[in-house]
Amino acid sequence: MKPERWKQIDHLLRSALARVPQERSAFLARACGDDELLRNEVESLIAAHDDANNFLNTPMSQLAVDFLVNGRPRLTTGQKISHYKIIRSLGSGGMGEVYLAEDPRLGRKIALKLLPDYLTSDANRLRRFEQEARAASLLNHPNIITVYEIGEADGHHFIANEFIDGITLRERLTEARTAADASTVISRQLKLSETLDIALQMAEALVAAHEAGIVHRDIKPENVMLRRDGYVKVLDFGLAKSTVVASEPAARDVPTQIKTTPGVFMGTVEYMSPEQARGLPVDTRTDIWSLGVVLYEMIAGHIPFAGPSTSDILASILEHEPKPLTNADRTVPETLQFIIEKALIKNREERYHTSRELLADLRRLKERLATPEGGLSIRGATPSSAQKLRAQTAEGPQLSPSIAVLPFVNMSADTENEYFCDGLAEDIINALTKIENLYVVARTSAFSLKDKDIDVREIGRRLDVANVLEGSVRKAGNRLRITAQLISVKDGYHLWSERYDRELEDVFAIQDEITLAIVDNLEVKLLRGERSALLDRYRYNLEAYNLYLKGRHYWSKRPTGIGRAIEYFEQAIAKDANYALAYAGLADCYNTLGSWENGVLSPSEAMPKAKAAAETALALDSLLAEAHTSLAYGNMHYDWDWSAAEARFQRAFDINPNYPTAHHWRSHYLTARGRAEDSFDESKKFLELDPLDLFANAHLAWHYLFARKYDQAIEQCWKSRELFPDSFFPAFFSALAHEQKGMLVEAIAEFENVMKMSTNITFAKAGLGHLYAVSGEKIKAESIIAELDQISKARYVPSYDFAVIHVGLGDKEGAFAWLEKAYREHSTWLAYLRVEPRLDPLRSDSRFTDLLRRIDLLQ
Amino acid sequence: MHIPNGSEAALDRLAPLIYEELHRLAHRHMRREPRYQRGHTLQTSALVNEAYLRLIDQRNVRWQNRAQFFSIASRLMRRILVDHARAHHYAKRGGGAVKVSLDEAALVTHDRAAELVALDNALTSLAAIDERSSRVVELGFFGGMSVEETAEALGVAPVTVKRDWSTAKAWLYRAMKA
Repeated sequence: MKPERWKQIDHLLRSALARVPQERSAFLARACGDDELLRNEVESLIAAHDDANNFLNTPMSQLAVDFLVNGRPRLTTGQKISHYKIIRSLGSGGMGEVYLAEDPRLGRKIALKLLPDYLTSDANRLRRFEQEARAASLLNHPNIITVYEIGEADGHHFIANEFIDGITLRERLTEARTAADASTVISRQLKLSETLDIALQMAEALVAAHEAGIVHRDIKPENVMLRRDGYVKVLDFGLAKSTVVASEPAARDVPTQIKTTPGVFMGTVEYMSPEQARGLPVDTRTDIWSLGVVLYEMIAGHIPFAGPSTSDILASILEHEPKPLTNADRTVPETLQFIIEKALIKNREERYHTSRELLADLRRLKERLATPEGGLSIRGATPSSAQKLRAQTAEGPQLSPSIAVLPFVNMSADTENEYFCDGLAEDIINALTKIENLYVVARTSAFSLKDKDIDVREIGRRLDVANVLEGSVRKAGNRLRITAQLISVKDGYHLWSERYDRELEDVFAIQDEITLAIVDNLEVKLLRGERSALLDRYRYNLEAYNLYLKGRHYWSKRPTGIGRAIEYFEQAIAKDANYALAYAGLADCYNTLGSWENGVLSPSEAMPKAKAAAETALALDSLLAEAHTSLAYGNMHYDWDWSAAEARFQRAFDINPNYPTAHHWRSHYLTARGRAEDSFDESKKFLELDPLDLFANAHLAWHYLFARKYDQAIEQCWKSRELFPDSFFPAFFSALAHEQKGMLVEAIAEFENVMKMSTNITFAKAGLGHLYAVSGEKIKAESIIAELDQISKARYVPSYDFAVIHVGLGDKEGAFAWLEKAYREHSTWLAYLRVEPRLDPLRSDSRFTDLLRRIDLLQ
Repeated sequence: MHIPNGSEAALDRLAPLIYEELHRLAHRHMRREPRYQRGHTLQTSALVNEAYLRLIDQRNVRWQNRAQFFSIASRLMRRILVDHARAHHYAKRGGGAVKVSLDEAALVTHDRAAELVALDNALTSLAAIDERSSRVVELGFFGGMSVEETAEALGVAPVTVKRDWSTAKAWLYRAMKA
């Protein structure tokens, strides 16, 4: 490969990785054109990137230690155990080492588990273990990991399992907790819907096992795998019990990892039932308890029975009641609290008697939550379709469903309506193409059959699809009659049909209904967020939408409105936890708080919250221009990742070329990178879209200022001031522009205006401090430093503010020390380091160049 | 002794010096904690840092800067570890030519050794098309340097290092799987 070619590949790879997985293939198709090789290359690298998660993450130090000290023989890549070929180690746990291996006979990947020595060294123990493992291996259920083989070869005892491409529930919980450290927006618990989904599938697994007479005994997050496609798989059924020697009755039913040496407990006891903790014989109800503990943990973000030592935990399990879940910082449905309480009753006679009862309760709860009072079901796939899907998958892989949407037949006299008919079909095609698991014939092909009187089966054959949607439109004045039929090509059978008699203005709602009917009837598996992407669902939840609009209104009145804005966005989320737009709004509030709403939050507090909220929004709806824009803001101001920011902006424009904030913030981006003229264009575009926005007006002045076009800046300030006489921004930028022109008296006069309107904005104080300093008013400048210093005792003051005054005082050392501190703070002001005129005295210093390098502005 | 900036010649001249120091330090660390357990960390970065300080102190070497030293040390670290791995790997596969005694090399875990040799080869191929990315991996993985330190050594922004790291990883992983 040539370096030039690699550059091209590398560039596409990065752009593709910046997109959500379901958008990548469409993106590459567009970007690569006819270059098949290029596309294959990038796609194989994306696959490698996804697989390479843990690759090279082990620090070399660990390897060095292994090299020098650790000599335990292990299986090696390429080695064969029985007919399985080892690919690599997946790690080790209490049940022994696990390897990824290939079964060449069936051409599939498997997980090969080597049993630990303590188990295989005792023949009796081994025999009993194998007996029970064999019994468990007969379980055949989509939520239970499939055991292919239990065997022995070359002195290794092994179990060959289905290989699960995913993460453990433990890893998922840790992930959620890590996200929580950076944010209170995204709580450290899992989402209610995710929790329920996992619990339900775990309960399904338990029902299947329990009804076959098998008890797990060691249900815990480490033994639950979450497959990428949403399936939950419970591991290691039947492996726990027999690992314990029969002659130790008290320890008989203690889970595997715990008992190593008699009398010594190691590993996890948190999920043990009281009867296990007492060493009593256990039955299926012990699993119900453990599932209760896991469920509690998913909801609360912490385990119910905790303590500093194993014996404290055991005591807590035996004696204490868990903290009620209502204490957690969000509302947990009462029914769910009841379910958990009932699973965690210490006396097993009073607990759920069977896992089936527990499953039934969970199912009812989920169904109730999934269907808001008679409204449109918009919270993800309905239970029934999910179940149908499960049934399908259990039978084996299926091809994605396919469909051709034909143009609707115009039944009106007016031929003008043709456009209307075509448009209707086109909109439905556009909506359906957003679904990854559905093949949709492109418009041109589908429309090529227009007005040709061809039988549906023939259409299906020609377009190679299994289903066809056809329909008709009759339009008279404002009245609309639309019919639609979904037909299976195979037998000509009508899967669904509907007639709508509505007003013209309902046409979008009808389109949405038809789209959803197709999805439901073809039993298309929707990925997360896809359903909402199908429809512009935000206008349906009027209550949440209104709250969102109020939030945006207050956000536009920043800085003072931010607090109110956050309240409204949070209320919208409380109304609908899946309301993606509100998360994007929240992200923007934190973006602002972390950058120039000084003294409220430091960047390291605010910006991760902004990012988390924006990512939540995108997880719910990947086609939200607002959320892509929020991320772009953080990319440039906090990560200093300029190419990521640019890619996000482009993504936002792809989705909505007229989203004002995207133009607004991209104008900042261009200014920061020194592309002044392009920046003005973006500012003007923003102004066009939102002529009465304060920032559309004032920030153009700011960009003129940083482009050193001081007269234009001053002129723009006057224009802004006429529209927004109460805002301090025009006076502030005007002051800075006058200062740069050397008109210090005018600048001070302007600053007096600023100070009248803004009493506690630190960057304004710092601006005045800098102005005093360059005017030779050293004492006044220093008193502002003292004032800022005083303020900083109570709240965050950006180090950048201090740096600016020190520059004015000619104190280079001080300025660099503060800038260095600003760098460590990830100060959002540094994004403008390249263009900020006040820092000019520092530019020739190599330390300044080094700062520019570190924030990737050295070009 | 003056060292020209990061050149191969410099590496060759300095290699014995740094090698000796790293090796000595590693042994000392091992002796101090004879029953090294898995999970106990012998930080390469700590090792390199220590070597740096000692060499600055004692040998009267005028280093251009810290970044340059780290560059060279991480390249050496790669050589040392890969050489060990290769010796072990071939000993196991070739079965005879090299008699492995109970020294460090014998204790190298076999799959790690194979992996490391494969990584070294892949890294060399990567360098042919993307020198900087290969250096990012060398500094980060073999030298134990942080993102900030790597960026400093290469004269680029930390964000560039992160991006290079991510795509280089995908490239190497694919190359090693093939």
